[in-house]
Amino acid sequence: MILVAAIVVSIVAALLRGGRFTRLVSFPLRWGLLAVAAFAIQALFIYQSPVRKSVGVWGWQEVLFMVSHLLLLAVVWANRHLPGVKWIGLGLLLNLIVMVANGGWMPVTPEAVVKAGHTGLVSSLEPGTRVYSSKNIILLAEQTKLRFLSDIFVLAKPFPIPTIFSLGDVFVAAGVFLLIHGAMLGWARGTGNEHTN
Amino acid sequence: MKKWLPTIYKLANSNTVRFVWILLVISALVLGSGAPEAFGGSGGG
Repeated sequence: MILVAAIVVSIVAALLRGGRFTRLVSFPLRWGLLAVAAFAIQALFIYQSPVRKSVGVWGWQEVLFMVSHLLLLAVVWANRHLPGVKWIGLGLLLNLIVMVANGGWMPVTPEAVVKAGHTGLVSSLEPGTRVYSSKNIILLAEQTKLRFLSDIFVLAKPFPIPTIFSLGDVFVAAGVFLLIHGAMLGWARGTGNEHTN
Repeated sequence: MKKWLPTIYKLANSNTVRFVWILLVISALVLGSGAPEAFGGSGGG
């Protein structure tokens, strides 16, 4: 949830600082269709019925899932000159590394799922169970490789929408804040009034 | 079909459509890079 919150907060903050939607309209973001296609691929797996996976066993789903992340890396590379995109790229890379190390999915402990109140999104708390509407797979802490990069941070109630996130997600949230801010305030070339030619 | 082309072209270049498209691309990039539990993380338990 922190990523949607980051998008909303950055739009509101940019508006308060004099940012304009018209600048966002002319923001020179490249390869947008690839980003949408990559997320569409991910959505196919994110919203499938939660099933149990053999931990560490790679199938075509995991491969395709990782390919979608590589497509997003290409989009990040094509837009690396824009504000905040390097932070998004760093977050994406950290998330990708920990997912590759753990069989293609983002590990989360059963304790974190319970603490966030997400037990309704899983069929069981057994290791290898996928969490519905997320990239997560339940793994025990001692089973998780590079645990510090996995979903270890929990925002539990009284936070309005409890959520679990990783260090990579923090970088992505910071990046999108800078990206939208930059777009609406005209920090990047070709985003508004400073556009000349 | 041909008579619709100018309308489609005009629509595709309208600020509203471009605004929605940019937001869609940013959302796809961000949620694809991070935790898309963002969409449906309300959970049950």
